[in-house]
Amino acid sequence: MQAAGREAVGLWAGHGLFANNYGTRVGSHLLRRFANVWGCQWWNPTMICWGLGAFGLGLTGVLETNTKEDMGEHADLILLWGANLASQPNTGRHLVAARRRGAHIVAIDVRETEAAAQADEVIRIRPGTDAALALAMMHVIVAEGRHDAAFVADHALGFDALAAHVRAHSPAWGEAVTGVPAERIAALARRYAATRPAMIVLGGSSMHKGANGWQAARAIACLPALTGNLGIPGGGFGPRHGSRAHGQDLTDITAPERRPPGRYIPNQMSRVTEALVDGQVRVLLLFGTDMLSSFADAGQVAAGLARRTWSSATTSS
Amino acid sequence: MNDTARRFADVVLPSTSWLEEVGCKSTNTHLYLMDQALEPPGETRPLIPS
Repeated sequence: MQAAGREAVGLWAGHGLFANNYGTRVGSHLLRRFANVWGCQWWNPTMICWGLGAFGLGLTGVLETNTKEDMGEHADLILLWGANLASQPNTGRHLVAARRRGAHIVAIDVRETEAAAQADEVIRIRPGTDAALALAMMHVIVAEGRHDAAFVADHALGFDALAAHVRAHSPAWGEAVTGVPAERIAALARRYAATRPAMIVLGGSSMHKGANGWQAARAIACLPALTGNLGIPGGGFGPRHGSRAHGQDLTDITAPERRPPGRYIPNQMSRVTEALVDGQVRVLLLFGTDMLSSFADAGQVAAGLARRTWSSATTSS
Repeated sequence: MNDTARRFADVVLPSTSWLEEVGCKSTNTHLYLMDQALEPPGETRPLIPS
């Protein structure tokens, strides 16, 4: 590693070591600390998972979530948007509690999921069209003046641009894209705008992994802002894989302030693969991850890894 | 051993899986100590010695 030089050394944990100690990610943080203190390459493992969706949420600004307990106690409307109870069973009993309390539950998904059995309404959409559904809902909310103008004025940026953008995305347009009848889209939008608190439980491991899933996350994240559903009990976004509620934060041991300047390869699969192929990275440490399986373009990754000047080490976690 | 390690690794260091080491998991509201449940086989070593 020292002979190759720090910028030619890459650490990649993928979902192996990164997913051990999930939540605290102590092992992954130690690796990142090593990379920061020494100044070698390190890439964020979320890029093979929900990271892109979170990127979309981050761009829009709705990253923090409300808790499942809050959902059970306070939400009057719950949109399970690509969120299936089978993959998030801890949330299940709080959803049932909300329903017993009289909350209205809508399951939006590409198939009849286990969550559909707990829903008052099931909306089946074509895969990859979640952004279109959110845009068409916003079209209705804005066109009919159902948004929370005071909240938007006080807490949101870019409303005029958003309003202009959604003008072209009518429920009829939405129907053509999503397969959901226009009147159902309009009814959903009206119900969402009229019910407060209303919570959206996003599937952090479903639509976020599809093509352009981050655009869907961006579009959906505008809905709670538009309707003043942020910062209130029972509103906003519900628990999501990889998310945190307000105040849930752990000490960061990764020492980002100690990272020396360097020629760093960004957190993009295509750029990382390029660096393997062109030889910018010559020593690679893999921590319990099968890069050929989890990276896009496995052929190129294999071509990069097959270069003969390699000295690599792999642990299996 | 996974495909990447089998085809391309020059050095393979055996490591423990999560059941073979002490761990800590966090959810939105709680931290959980995850006790070691199995003896680490062979020469496996955890990244963080416990």
